[in-house]
Amino acid sequence: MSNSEEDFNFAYLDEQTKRMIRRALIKALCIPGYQVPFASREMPMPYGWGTGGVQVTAACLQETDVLKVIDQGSDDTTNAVSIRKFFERVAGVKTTENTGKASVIQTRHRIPEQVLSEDQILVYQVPIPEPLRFLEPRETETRVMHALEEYGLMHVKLYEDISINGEISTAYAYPVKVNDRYIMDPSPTPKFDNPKMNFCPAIQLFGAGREQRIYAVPPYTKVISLDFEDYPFEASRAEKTCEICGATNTYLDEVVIDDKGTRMFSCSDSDYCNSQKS
Amino acid sequence: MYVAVKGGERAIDNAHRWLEDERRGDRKVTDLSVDQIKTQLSLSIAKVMAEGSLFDPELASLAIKQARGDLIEAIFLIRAYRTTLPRFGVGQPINTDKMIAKRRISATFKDIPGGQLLGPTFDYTHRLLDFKLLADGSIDEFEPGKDTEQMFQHVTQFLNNEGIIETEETSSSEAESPDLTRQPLEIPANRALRLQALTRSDEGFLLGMAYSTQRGFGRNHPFVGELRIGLISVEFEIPEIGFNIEIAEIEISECETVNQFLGSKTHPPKFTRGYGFVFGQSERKAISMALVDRALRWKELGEVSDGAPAQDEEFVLYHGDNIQATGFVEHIKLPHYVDFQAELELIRKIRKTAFEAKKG
Amino acid sequence: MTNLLPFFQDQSKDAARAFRIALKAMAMPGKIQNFQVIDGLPTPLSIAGATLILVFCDFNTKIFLGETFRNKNVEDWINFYTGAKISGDKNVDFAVGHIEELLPFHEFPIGTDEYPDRSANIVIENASKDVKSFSLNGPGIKETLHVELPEKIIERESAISFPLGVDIFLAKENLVMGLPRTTMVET
Repeated sequence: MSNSEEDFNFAYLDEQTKRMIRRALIKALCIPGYQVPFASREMPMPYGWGTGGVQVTAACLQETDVLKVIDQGSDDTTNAVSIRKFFERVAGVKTTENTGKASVIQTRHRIPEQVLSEDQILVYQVPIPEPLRFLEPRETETRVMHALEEYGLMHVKLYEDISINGEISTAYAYPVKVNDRYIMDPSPTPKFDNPKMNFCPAIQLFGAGREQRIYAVPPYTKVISLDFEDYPFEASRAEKTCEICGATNTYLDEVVIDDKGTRMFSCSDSDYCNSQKS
Repeated sequence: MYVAVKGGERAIDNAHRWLEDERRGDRKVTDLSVDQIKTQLSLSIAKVMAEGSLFDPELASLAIKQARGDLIEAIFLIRAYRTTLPRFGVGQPINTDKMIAKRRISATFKDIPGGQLLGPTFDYTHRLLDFKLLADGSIDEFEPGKDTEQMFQHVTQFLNNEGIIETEETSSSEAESPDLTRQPLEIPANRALRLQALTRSDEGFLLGMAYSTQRGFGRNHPFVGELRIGLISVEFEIPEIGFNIEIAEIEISECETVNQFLGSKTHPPKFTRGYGFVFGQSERKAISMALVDRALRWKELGEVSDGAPAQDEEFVLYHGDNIQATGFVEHIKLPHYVDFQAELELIRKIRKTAFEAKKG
Repeated sequence: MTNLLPFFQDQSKDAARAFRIALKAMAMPGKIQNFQVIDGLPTPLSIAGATLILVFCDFNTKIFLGETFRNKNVEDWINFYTGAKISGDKNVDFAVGHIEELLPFHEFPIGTDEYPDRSANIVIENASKDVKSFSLNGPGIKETLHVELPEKIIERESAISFPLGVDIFLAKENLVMGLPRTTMVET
C-alpha cells in the first residue's frame, strides 16, 4: 500500500485499462462522431475536471511525446497547470506551451488558433458528450435517436431559437454533423472554433469520463455546424482587436480591468498571442 | 499586460501548503492518529469503505484524516486508490447465512428462532448530549453474551418454506456478475448491476429516494423482514491449488424487506423482496437500499410504474454516485470565461436586434 | 519455457508506441505505417499481426484465428502474453488470418444499430499477396489514394452497412495499413 511515484505505471493507468481505452479509440475513429461507451476509471482528479481527456491522453501518450495542456485557450489556467503537472509526474513526458511543438494537445473549451498538423493529436475534455441530452434527458432515448438518425428534435430546437430570437441561441457546444451521419457535441468550445474541426489534419479525440464515452474525428473529415439555408452558421467573436498582439481574427477574452467596468480584449489563445507579439 | 489567470502554478502550490496547514490545525493539540480514527470513528469508516467500494479500515481512516473529515473527499481518495489496484479475480459469493451477527432484528415477527439481538445500536438511546465525553470519562468494557457467536437462519426463509414469498434464483444471464467499475453502465441494468450501483451510491441520496417511496412516490409497502450486522468471511478460489481460501473477514450490514404484493398480470399475489447490502455497520443505508431496490423492480414483477423518481432506473443509477455528482456539480467553479464570452456576444447581438426592431 | 518467446521489451512504453502507430493507421487509411521489429515470433504470425494482438487483446478479448494460424506455438504465445480466449466461431472481437480464411467478413460481428462499435477488428495477414490496385476515399484521406490491396478485399462490402461494419488492418512483416469501415474502396 505504499504510494510512491515508482508504483505508478507509465502514464498512470494500468495496461489493461489502457488496452480497453485503446480499443474504444480505434472504434471511435472508425465510426466518426459516434459515442463509444468505455469503462471510465476513477482518476485522481474530480469528475468534470477532465477525467475523460486525461484517460484518453494517458492511453495515447508515448515516451517521446511533447504535451501541451490548455484550458480556456491558455496554458497557465489552474486546471491546465494541474493536468500538465500530473503527466510530467506520471509519464515523464516533455511539455510545451508552443502549439507547433506539441505532439499531443489536451484542451478544455478551445481549439488552438494555429492550424494543426497530421502529426498532432488534439484531445478534448468533454462534460456532456450527448448533443441531444438537453432536448432528451434519457440515454435510452437518445441512443435510439442516433441509431435511427432521427435528428428532427435538434432541428426543431434550432428553428424555434430563430423564430423567438431571430438567431440560433447556442453560443458554445454548438452541434455539428460528422461525416454526414452522426450529430456530435464538439465539447463546450465557442462556436467560433467549429470551422477548425472541418477537414482538420490532426486526429481529434474526445473523452467524457463521468459519462463514460469516447468519440473521435479522423483527419480530413467533414464536420459541419448545423444551420438553415436562410440562417447560415456564423462563427462569431467579439468584433474587436487584441490589445496585446493586435490580432483581428482570433477569439478574444473580455477582461474587466477596473472598478468602473472598463474592458480590455485580448486573445484567449495565450500561445498564439505571444507568437504574434514577437 | 493584464492577465488575471497568470501564476497558476504558484497559486496551486500555495493552496496545497495552506490546506495542509489547516488540516493539521492548532499544533498545541495532539495530532490525530489513524488508529484513533479507525477504532473510534468506525461508522465514518463504514461509509467511506462502502461508497469507496474498498474494504480496508486502515486506508479509510487515512483518507478521513487526509480529507479533514470530509467523507465524500475521503471516499474520492479511496476510489482513486482502488482504481490503481490490480485485479486478481472474482471472490466466491458470500453466504450471509454464515454471518456471525452482532445485531439481528426482525420487524415482521415478535420472536424468531435465535431471538432478536439488538447489538450496539443507537435505536433506544435518548439523544441527549453526553457531557461526560467532554471530560475524558472512561468507559467500562462490555463483554457480549454467547448468543452473539452463532449463525442464524434468515427470517425470510420461514416465509419461503410456506411458499408465500418469492424465491430468489440466480438466472443464468446473471451467473457472471457484471462489474460496474469495469464496464460502462448500460440501461436497462439487471438486478445484480442495480444492487452494485446502489451499494456504492451516496447514503443521503438513497435515504431521500427511499423516503420518497414511503411518502407515496412509488409506494411499495415494506416491512423489515430482517436486518443483520456482523462478520462474514470472504473466500477466493485459487485455481492452482483447486480450493477456496479465506482472504478476509469483513463486517457488513444486510437488510431484507418483505413487501406486500397483490399480484399482477404476470405474477400471483405473494410477498416480494427488497435487498440491501452495505460494507460496515450502516443500517440506515441498508434499509434505504432495500426500499429503492424494491421500487426499481416494478418492471420484472409486472407492476405498473407510478412514474415515481425511485422507480426510474436511469434516474436513480445515473445520479446516486456522490463522486460523479460532486465532481460535476463543483466543476462549474472552474474557469468558463470562454463560453461566457460567447454567451455575452450572443446576448448583446440579440438585444441589439430587438432594440432596433422596436425603434423600427 | 514460454517466457523465452519474444515480447515487448518494456511492456508499457512499447505498447504505447505500437498503439500510436495502429491509431495512425486507422486514422489515415491507406497509408503504410511501420511497427518496431520483434524477432522470433511463432510462425506464421507477422510482426504487425503479433504487435496488434499485443496492443489490443487481453482476457476480455476473443480472437478468431485463420486455419494456418491455428497451431500450438501461435496459440500458446497468444495465451501466455494476452490471456485472450481463442474462439472456434466468428463471434469475436479480433480476428487474424489470411484473407481467404477470414471470408466472408459478414460472419464477424458488425455491431448493432445502437452499438455499432460492437464489431470485430480484422487483421489480414500476408496482405501483399494477390493484390490489385484500388482507389480509396473517405475520412482520414486528404486526396484519393491509389493503393494495392488484396483482390478479395472488395468482398468487405458485404460486411459494411455504415455505421455498421468490420474494421480491417492489413499486415505484412512489420508493416500495417488501416481500412476502417468508412473507407470507400473502388477499382
